[in-house]
Formats: sequence, C-alpha cells, structure tokens
Amino acid sequence: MDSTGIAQRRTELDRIRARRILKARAWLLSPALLLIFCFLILPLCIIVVYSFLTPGTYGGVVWDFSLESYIQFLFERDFFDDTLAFSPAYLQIYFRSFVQALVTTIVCFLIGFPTAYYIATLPERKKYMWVLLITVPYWINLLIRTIAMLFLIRNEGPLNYALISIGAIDEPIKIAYTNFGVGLGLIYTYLPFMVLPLYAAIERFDFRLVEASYDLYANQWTILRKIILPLVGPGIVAGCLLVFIPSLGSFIAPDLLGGGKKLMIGNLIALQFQGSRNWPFGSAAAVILMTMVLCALMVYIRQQSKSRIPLH
Amino acid sequence: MAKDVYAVNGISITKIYGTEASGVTALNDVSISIRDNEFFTLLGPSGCGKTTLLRCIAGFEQLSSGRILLFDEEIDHLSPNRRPVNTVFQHYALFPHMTVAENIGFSLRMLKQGEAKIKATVGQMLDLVHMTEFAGRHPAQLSGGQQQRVALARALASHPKVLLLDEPLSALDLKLRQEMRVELKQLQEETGITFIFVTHDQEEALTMSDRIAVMSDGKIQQTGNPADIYENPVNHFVADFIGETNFLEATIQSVHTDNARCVLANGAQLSASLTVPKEKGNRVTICIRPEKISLDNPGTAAGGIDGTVERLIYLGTDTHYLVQLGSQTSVLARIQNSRQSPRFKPGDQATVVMDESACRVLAD
Ligand SMILES: Nc1ncnc2c1ncn2[C@@H]1O[C@H](COP(=O)(O)OP(=O)(O)OP(=O)(O)O)[C@@H](O)[C@H]1O
Ligand SMILES: [Mg+2]
Repeated sequence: MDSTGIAQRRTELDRIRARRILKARAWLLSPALLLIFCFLILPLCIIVVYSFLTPGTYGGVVWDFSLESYIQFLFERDFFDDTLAFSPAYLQIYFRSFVQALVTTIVCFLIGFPTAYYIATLPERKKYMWVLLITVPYWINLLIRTIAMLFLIRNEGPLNYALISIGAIDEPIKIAYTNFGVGLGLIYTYLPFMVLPLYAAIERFDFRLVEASYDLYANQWTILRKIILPLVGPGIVAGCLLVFIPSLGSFIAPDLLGGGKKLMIGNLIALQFQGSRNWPFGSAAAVILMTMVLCALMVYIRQQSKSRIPLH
Repeated sequence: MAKDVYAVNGISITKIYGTEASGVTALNDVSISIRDNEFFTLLGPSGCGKTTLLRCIAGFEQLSSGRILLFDEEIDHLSPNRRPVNTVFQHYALFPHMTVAENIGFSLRMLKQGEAKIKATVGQMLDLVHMTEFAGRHPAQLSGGQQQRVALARALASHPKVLLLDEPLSALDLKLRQEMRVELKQLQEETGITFIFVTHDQEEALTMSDRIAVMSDGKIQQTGNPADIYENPVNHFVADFIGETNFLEATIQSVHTDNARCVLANGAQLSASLTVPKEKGNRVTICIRPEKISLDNPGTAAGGIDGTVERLIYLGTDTHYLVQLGSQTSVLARIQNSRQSPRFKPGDQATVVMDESACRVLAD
C-alpha cells in the first residue's frame, strides 16, 4: 500500500475512534438528563395539561377540557349574562413584574459591572478569594436572608432607628412593603448572578486588544463597539438573563418584602395553588410566563448563532 | 546641504514610570535618529527599555521629557490612533472575533476607506504574506507563524510611515524564526517602509538590520551598522553583549595618533587601536574577537605573546583554543581548521598573535 493510502486509512480510523469517544462521552450526561426529565420535563407537561382543565371545587382539577383559564387571563366574564369584557388586571401584574425585573437587571448591571471589572483585574490569588466572597450569601438560606432584610428595613428596624437617632429623619422611611423594598430584595438576591458571568467575560478579555485597535486608528467609541462589546458582550447577556428571568418569576422577595399587597407573577401563581384553589389558572399563568421567557430566549439564541465565532 | 530629515527623530527622551521621586527610569536621555526606508534594530538585554521606546514612538506612553519628531513633525500631542505609525505586537494581539481578512482590513475601515479599495488592499496584503487561502479563518485556527504574518499584514495594510515590531519572532521556533527573518527583510525592502525592530537576539539583529542601536539600562550605548557594531564596539557592554570577546586588562605605555602601546599584566606588550581619549598610565581594557587571533608555533612569529594551550574544543570547521598568558590572563582563539593552520594539544607552547587593528582600547 502506498503512503497516501495508509494516511487515508489512518484518518478513517481516527474518525471512527473520535465518534466512539463522543458516544461514550454522551453517557456522562445521562444522570443530568434523567434528573431534568423527572423534575423538569415531566412537571412541565403536567402544568401544561392542567392549564387546559377545569378547576376542582377544593383545589385539584376535573378532567374536562377547557380554555377558561386562558380566557380568564385576559377577560372578565360577566356574572349574569356571561359576556366577556377585556380586563387588564392580570396583564398589569405581568407588566409590573416585567418592570420590576428590568429595573433589577439594570441596577444589578450597574453595580455588578464595576465589581466584576475590579475583581477581574486583581492579581490571580486575590481574584479567587473575591469570587468566593461573592458566593457567601448563598451559604445561607434565601428565606432567612429575606426575613433578615425585612427585619433591617421595617419601620421599627435598625436602619430607621439609626437614621432617626442621628437626626437624619423624623419619621421612619417606609421601605418594607413597598415596590422599592421588593426591588432591594431582588437586587440583593440576584446580584451575584450578574457579577459571576461578567467577571468570567472580563477576565478572559485581553486588554492588549484595546491598544492594538487604538494603534490601528480606532477611536474610543469604536473600540468599545467593535472590540470590547463583541468580546465581553456574551457575558453581559448571560448575566442579564440570569438576573432577569428569575426576578420575573420570583416569589419570596415580593411576598415577604412587598407584603403580598402588589401582586407579582410569582405571588399570583402561588395564590392560585393556595388560597384560590384554582390550579388550572395557576398553571396557565405559569405557562404564559414561560412562553414569554422562551420567546425572548429564542430571539437571543437566533442572534447568537448568527454571529457565532470561535474564540481562543 | 539641507538638514537631514529623519523618519523618526527622538531628542533627549526620558521616560520615568511612576512618580519622579520613586519611579523606574526606563529611558534615560535617549537621542535617536532613524532614517527613512531603514531597517533599524533596537538590541539590548531584557528590561533595558526597548519596548518602552517603541511605546513612546507609538504614542502609548507620555514622555517624561524630550521630544519625538516624525518626518520633522512634532507628534507628542498626537494619540496613537492619529499617528501614521503601526505596531506589530509581541503577542500579535489579533482580534479573535474577526477573520484574517477582517483583521487586516481593520485599520482601513477605521480610516473610512471605500469597501472596494479595502478589499483590494486586503487582497494585496494577504498575497504579500502568503496567507490568501486563510482569509476566512479566525486567528484561533492559525499556527503561530501564520498569526505572525497576519499581525504583520494588519500593521502594514494602512501603509504606515513607520512600522514598529516588538520582538515579533520570539514566539516562533528556531526554524520558522530563521525563515521569517528573511521574509521580514524582504518585506521591508519591497514596501520601503521604515522598520524599527526590537530584539534581544544579536544574531537576528546582525543579519537583518541596516543599522543597530545597542541599548542597556535605558541608554543607547552605540549606534551603527552591523559590521561597525561587531568590529568596533565602543565600550565593554557592547563588546560583551555582541558575539564572543576577549577582554585584556592593560596599562597604556605610550599614545600615538590612532593607536596605543599597552602592557599586559604579565609584562607582554601589544599595540591596540585607540579612538577614545586616553593618556599614558591609564588602566584600560582591550578587546579582541577570538577569530582575529592567530596561533603560531613558538619562535616563528615576531611580536607575538607566548603562552600555553590550556584547553581546546574541536568544532569541525574551527577549533577553539584557550591559551594561558601568564598567571591571570588567558585568551580564547578561534582557529579555522584549514590545511595550513598549525594544530596544538593541551600543554603545548604557542605564540598568540594579535594584530593592532583587531585590538581595541575600550572607552570603559
Ligand atoms: N508600566 C510600567 N510601570 C513601571 N515600570 C515599567 C512599566 N513598564 C516597564 N517598566 C520598567 O521599565 C524598564 C524597561 O522596560 P521595557 O519593557 O521597556 O524593557 P524591554 O527592553 O522591552 O525588555 P524585554 O526584552 O524583557 O521586553 C524595566 O525595568 C521595567 O520593569
Ligand atoms: Mg519588551
């Protein structure tokens, strides 16, 4: 056999081996896949199915197909003549949650970016300590942390007490049970989700590229647009998604810090399963939220794959 | 005659990092004149300020004092993106999210040239560095040598007046480095752009440069063409840094117009060329390259110094002899293994002949 023939055999063999390794590697995923199936896909299916059923009198569902939950989401059914009137009450809850999540994301970014930048440009050894410190809040249960926050910011709490005793204010500032209080809780809860992906992206960014582009006649604005954002951008998007999505459906902070007065999506859903005992409507509310998030993600992924680039 | 116009004219450049009081003086009163179309090399050991000088020319560093003129124009107030000077960075700094073609066209896009013109120039550049078939690849998909070429093409695309190259070959393996030396030199001649090339590799400097500036401790020690630097080093540092050298301690016995009669520690006398101001009685260092020394059988040569062969290293084309001259002094001689040249064994007596023109009295 001539040498090119041997070489071809060799590459053929390599390809078979590579494929086998890939197959073997897929098994590494199986525990995760099993978990995701049992605790994500299956419950999701149940929720979707329930959203199309009729509520039982004491909670639970009756197996009668119905679109009532989705109709109820947008319309109010007249008690007497059964006519439908458009009612934005639930849409308002979604809108409020959306604004709350957006503000949380923006504030987290504004606080998180400088923090991430600072950590990413530290010497190696200090970096790891700081990253560890960022995760410290997660060593304590979220419920406990939120209650602790409520304790701090309520009218009789240490914050107001301190401000009054130094004479900065006469009356306690109302923070607890306001949108501001909820926002504070959300920011506190999700800030690390912003800092960590940003840190990872900035850490990987090679600042010598800035000099190189400056040398090649780019001005500061172009450098930001053409060099820094494309390379750090994926980290920014990841951080924003990781904050925005959970804030949108968050439950603990709005419930405890908002006092459940101004409903957010999370409270609305929880309420349907507890007080109102309307499981199909709770399911529908969850499905609608999920669909909205999924649509947004699809758009994002489409854009990402369009501008996909190999790095390093 | 009109005053010379230099591509780069640095006048008393001083650069201190940090505060004046507790800073690092990276460049200490450096004056340098680089001609147009010249392949100019900055050669010096690590930390001597080569990169700093390049960064000052590129505009990345603010001078502590001094001025830099580019073709007789002040550039001190210009930021790097306004200087017609481009840099090939040691680590290439290619943009990872752009293809090879996009990398090369970057500066042209920044200069707002038309797409058709950009395309044409990028094509030419790809051709120039033999990378046409890689135009659509990303930097991560290239080998080190290929990345190096792209970096070069990217810096050359806008046809800068001066190209700064900071040890561009140091990341390559020896064979590739040798190939790239030839290519770089050719590229410089083809484009006619002034190259300022930084290296700490003396062989690289000697083989590629039109002129070399040898630096140490933030100062330029000597500027000259490769032969000049090699054969007429002005001081101990230059002689030692470039090539192998014998240093002989001596005392001046008498001074003539361009040479001096000196006495070595063992009492032997020899003449050496003298281009620096020295007087009778001065203790000086004489340097002589090993290949400029010849060895003869005792008693055959007049004016030689007798010694004993201590060690020899056989290298095929030549033999290196270490010859002891008295108790403290020894010299290394590199003798070609031609048919006529005498051969010695360790312990043999030999006469060391050092021509006056090959011996130089150093300034310090
Ligand atoms: N940003 C900086 N801040 C403080 N000191 C610096 C800085 N950059 C360089 N130096 C110091 O200035 C001196 C010259 O550095 P430079 O980088 O110019 O050396 P070099 O000749 O390029 O060395 P090498 O061959 O190792 O690249 C060194 O002593 C270095 O420690
Ligand atoms: Mg350097």
